[in-house]
Amino acid sequence: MKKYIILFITVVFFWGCDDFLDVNTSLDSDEQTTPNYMLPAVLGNMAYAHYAHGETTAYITQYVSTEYGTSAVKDRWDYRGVLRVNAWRRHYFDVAGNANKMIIFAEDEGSKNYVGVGKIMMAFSFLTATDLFGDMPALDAFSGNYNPRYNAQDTVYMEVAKWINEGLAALDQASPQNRAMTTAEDHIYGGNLNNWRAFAYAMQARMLLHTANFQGGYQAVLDAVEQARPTWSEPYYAFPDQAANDWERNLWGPSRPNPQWDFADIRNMLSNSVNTDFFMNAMTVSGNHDPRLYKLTTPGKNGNYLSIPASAGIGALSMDDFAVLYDGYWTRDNSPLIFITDEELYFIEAEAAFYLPNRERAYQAYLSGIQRNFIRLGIGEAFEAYRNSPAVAQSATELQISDIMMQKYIALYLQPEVWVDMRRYKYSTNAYPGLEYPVNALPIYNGAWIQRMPYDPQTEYIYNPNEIIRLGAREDLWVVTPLWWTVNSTLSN
Amino acid sequence: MKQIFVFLGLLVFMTLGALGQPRQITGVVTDASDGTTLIGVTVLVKGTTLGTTTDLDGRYRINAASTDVLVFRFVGMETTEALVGDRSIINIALEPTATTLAQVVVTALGIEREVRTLTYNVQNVGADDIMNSRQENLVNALQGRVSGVQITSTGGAPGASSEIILRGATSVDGDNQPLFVIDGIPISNASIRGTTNRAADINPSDIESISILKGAAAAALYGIDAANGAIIITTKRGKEGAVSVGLSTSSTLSQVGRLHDVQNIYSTGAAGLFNPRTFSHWGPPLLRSDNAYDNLNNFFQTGMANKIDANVSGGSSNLTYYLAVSSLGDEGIVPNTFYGRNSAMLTGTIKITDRVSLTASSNIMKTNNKTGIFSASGGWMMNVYRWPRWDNMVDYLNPDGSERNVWVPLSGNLADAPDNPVWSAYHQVRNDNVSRNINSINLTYQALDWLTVNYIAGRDYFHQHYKAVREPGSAGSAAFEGAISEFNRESEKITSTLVVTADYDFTDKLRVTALAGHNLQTDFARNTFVEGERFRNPTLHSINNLREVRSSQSTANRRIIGVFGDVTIDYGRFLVLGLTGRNDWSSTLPLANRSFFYPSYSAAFIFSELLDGQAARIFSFAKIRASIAQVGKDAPPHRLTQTLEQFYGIGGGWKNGAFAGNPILKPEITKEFEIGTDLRLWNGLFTIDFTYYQRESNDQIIQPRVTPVTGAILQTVNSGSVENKGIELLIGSRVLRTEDFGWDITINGFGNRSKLTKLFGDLVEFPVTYGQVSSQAIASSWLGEALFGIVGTDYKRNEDGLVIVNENGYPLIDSQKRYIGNREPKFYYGLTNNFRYKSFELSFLVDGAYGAQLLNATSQFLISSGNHKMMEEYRNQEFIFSGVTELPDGSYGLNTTPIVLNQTFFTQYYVLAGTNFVEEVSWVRLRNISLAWYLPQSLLSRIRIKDANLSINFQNLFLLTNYSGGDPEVNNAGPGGGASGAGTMGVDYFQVPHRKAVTLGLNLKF
Repeated sequence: MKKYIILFITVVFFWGCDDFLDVNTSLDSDEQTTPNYMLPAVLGNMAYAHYAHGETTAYITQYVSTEYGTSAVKDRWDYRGVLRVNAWRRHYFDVAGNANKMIIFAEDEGSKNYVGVGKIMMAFSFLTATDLFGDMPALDAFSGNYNPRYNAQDTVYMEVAKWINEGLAALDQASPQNRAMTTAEDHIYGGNLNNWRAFAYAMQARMLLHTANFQGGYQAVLDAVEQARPTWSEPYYAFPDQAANDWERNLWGPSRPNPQWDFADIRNMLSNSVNTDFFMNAMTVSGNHDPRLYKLTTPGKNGNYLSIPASAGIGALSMDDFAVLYDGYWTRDNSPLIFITDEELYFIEAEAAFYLPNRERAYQAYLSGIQRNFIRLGIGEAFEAYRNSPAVAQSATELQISDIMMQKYIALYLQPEVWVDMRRYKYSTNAYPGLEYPVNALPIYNGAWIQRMPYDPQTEYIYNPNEIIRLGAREDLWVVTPLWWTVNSTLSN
Repeated sequence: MKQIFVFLGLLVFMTLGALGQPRQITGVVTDASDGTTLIGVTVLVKGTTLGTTTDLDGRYRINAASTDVLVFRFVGMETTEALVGDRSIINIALEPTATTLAQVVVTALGIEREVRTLTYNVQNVGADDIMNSRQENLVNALQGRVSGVQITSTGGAPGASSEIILRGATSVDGDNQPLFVIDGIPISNASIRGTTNRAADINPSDIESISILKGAAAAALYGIDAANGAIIITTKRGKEGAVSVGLSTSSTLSQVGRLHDVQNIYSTGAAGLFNPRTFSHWGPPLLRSDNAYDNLNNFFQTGMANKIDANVSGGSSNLTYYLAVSSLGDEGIVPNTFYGRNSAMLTGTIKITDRVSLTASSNIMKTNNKTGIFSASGGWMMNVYRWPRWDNMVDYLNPDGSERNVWVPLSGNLADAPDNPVWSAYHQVRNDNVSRNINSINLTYQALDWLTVNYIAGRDYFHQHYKAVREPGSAGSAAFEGAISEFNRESEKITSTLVVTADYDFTDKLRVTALAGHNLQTDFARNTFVEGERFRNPTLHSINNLREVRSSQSTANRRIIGVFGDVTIDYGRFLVLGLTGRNDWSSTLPLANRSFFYPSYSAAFIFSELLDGQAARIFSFAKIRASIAQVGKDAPPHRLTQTLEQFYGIGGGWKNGAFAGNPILKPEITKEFEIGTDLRLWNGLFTIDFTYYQRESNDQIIQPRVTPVTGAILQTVNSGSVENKGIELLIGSRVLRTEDFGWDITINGFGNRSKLTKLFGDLVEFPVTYGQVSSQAIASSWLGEALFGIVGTDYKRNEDGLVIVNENGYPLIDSQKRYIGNREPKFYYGLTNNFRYKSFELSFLVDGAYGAQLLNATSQFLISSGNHKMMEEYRNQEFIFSGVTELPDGSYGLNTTPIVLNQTFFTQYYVLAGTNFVEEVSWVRLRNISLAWYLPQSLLSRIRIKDANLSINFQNLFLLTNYSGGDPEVNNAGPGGGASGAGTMGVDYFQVPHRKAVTLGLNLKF
């Protein structure tokens, strides 16, 4: 009996220790995959980020303002009570982090097409993010460093330029043996690498435009535009006409999906928003409305098109007298999200040529931009009448910068790049005649315009406090501190 | 003549010689109080190493000489000595000792230890106390009776989960709850998505006793999962004798307890103007013609619970059994909420041979919890409190049966109309069904008199089906067309423990008990989630009926191998030394760090054994004990690498998972020092137990948020240290005990101080995920401060601490968040009183705490929506804020500028200072009072009932507190949502309030 007990104990004790314990690999998810399965997430999350940036900036650039005028963030620019700024996480974790993973998987298997697209998207996400936040970690990103250093914005711009170049180089090395990229993976270009090249050059043009007035000069901008033109196609993220799932609806649209599928939290407030005086004035020519107004918005109950000063609220007025902001070209459930529009490319060309100076070229690009916008909105035939109206400069010699910037403003309705433009010009009324400081902005700003988003308090203030303190980013006046390309900009006059 | 003397002399010599030789002595040892034979009594020959024990018939056989003295020793009995003399048969009746409250407690691994030689603090709660609490959730039954525990329940909804923490929390973000063990096997106490904590599945009526092992020393033998202590539950067993049948029924009526007050004057709107489409009550005063409905109190109903328990037990000398069945149904105070539990338990002990016995137990439980939708972070009752006063909330249906919307939104989109809470209670229901089976076998082999081999194996298996339905018409674009969230979870915990124990008396002074053991444990859980929106057919609540569906699966698998040993040396019955060691191998740590060892050292000095005379009469038992122990803890499974997650978007595919990997994770170690004393004065008239402990947890495995710049959201790391120290006190008195009258009092007290001494990287704060109830004050841990902290904003203050006011008279806000409060009470106390007079028994439990700083987020939201009671007195009053203004020369002068206390003041200034919602609170509660009448035998013998008693029991009858809100015992999210780390104990955020109840019970024994 005793013998059996000892045997039993020994067996039980030594029974396959390590094998028994090797159960720590997840049964439900893998660490690795092939790059084609990561691309939809990179593009889909960037599209969402594009919407989210636009939804935040539309109130700053005064396309719209709130019904009550009491929103802390949208009307008073009061970020003191904000718990989360999701654009930060959206960039690093949802877009760039996945692009980074995709590049790693693609390099591992030699799929240069995916490497190229990955680097281009990495660059685009960093560019749009730094234009919101200013200084941010770039060199230390995804390196496992828990206290990454925040790089100055000019360093970030250099990294973006580097990724664009690396992306273009990788695309040059792509071959038919690479893993296939079709419309199933690449919802924007369906795998057409030439289009991706053009997008990379267009992004370069946009980026160079930001700094051309104090470094680099405008010729570089025009060169980039010319390199983009031959194979240019808008980076167009489409939503289906008949959506089966919430994630197949544009978040600008009236159904305002509450995304259950992800940590997306910015639902549009268009049902409680109205157009501002600044926008409505831009859309009014000699007492008549710019026909594009009827395509960007839909008529309100009483068919009136009232407007309010930014952040003032509608007060005693009735919402029935304002336009409904839904179901315009950009605000339907099936509207597209377009990272860089045809119009923007034209207006980049126009602005760069204007300062080169090459007034003729600027004028032609200017007209092309306006016309393209009329065609997009389905009223191409109305362009001629508009062209002859006082809204449009009648010759290259009459062309002023405000013409270019205001038409760009109309054409880029609700797009985030407009905030960059306004800050480059330091909100000057030379470029944006009639632009007025919002009445309800916090008094502590003393009339200073908002210049950046604060860093995400939920993560950065808690997990990266030293860098935040170094930058002074917790101060109440941080959000009105200009970015690098604003500080150096010579454009306000 | 000489021959006779020689003969006599020879006779005497021979007799003397015979007497001097050892011969066989035999006899039976019985219990003097009831005459039953005692098995396992130690019989020693004094001064030698000879000894034996009584067998299964109470009989012993030993060789001794006439001059020898036999020593009879048995747990719970007075040690008795007997001179052999000329007897060959010596029968002894041992007297029970009257000195201790409990002779024996069950400690780790089911090992029974004498209280007298314990080197650490263990507290016991017996079946009677558990029954008297009338609680359905056994965790709640311990409230107020045990020192060193902090128990908070998430509220008064039936099936509400309760959180229990022993001696303060050790983990910044991990599970702080102790290990639950039933009959030797660890069981799951999980709470998923805010559902009931699983230990509540156990029927309290099946419990014989609960031992609470609070410190590391007590729990060291259990290993990893007992790093926060262990709750050892022993279920009832059968006894040899005639068949005994028990039947008890009880009915309970309950009502809502304390609620926050709301104002009754103002109507909805903003800035004094009426607005019919808002919850904000900043509108004009209600007109006299308006009906001001008391929606808050009308919402609740009287709850009704019924319970029936039946048991059969009995047995022979070879087989004893205990069979119990039970059924409980509890309709809560919130409409359409219900908790049902049906269980059956069968335990049997078989004596296979006279050396081998086997106990097998099987416990089946089925629970069904129906409760309204609420998120893991609480906030359920918000709309009930804020509902427009001119609307009769309980009238929630239109004549055609559809939901009556309190207002139609301007957009015309009914998805934007808020849900009526009563409609939600009926049409947004969560059903949580659990079917659970706990089986165990316990094999004991008495190899030798001093050597026992014990093997326990068990399986805790449950299947949980959770389904939350939001019917079409629910608010929110996602749920407006209906939404379902469902999961199926299977959980299996298998344990195998083999223990070999040697208990040997080397001399009559030196007794050594040594044990060695081996433990295997597997933990497996698989969860399949399906959720989606948009019903096709409006009334079909099935995932087949959804137009948008998402599914995912998660599996968790963990295995542990452990070996352990324990040596206790008892010298002269006054000095005890103990040594424990355990080594664990865990599957959740990387190979290099997988094995870790942790010892414990302890000692006890029973100085009462050395006293005599007057001192001995006073100190019938007095012990000083001390221990130093370590316990290790492993990581959650599958956290060593970053994996991918599904991407829900156009094109599908994968995206980065939220958790970054960590290939160098190592185990967490908690070290504890404990010292204390146990005193029994005047033979048990007074009992005093006192313990001081100090513990430190290092290399804590935490999962902080990291900056997303790393490409992940969270990571599992070793970092973080928490310190806890405190005292536990238990004072008992058997004040009076006569034939007719008895009176017992027990007082317990407990205070704990915690400190977060180290965090990860540059982190200064570690917020609780589900404790972030507002932007101004949240539940969070701050480096260098108490663990259960509140972090938030305050007014701007000058150097003297006075509030700085601007030139318009409004206070300035300092939006920099800092540590502003500690949610852990400074001291807890409980008082139990039992009176017995002839056939009546009255007992009550009063408990309370003082010095807790609660986060009253309910109050904050009531103020910002204009619903708070204080609006009746303060709104629109002129007021000079007590503070100072900055003068042009930089100094400060008293503020004299008056302001009006209107919406602007409250919503743009008052609510932005988090310190306004931190309240220092104390409370005293009459938790339980019950009166029982034991029916006289004269009555019973006529109807052939052995025992019967009727009882009436009131729960939560009185509450005295300075808290401005409802019931101060709050826990916003409970274990499922928030008991990770600093948890949400002390956070008040619109929970369903605790109930007051009265129970009538009848207990019969046949």
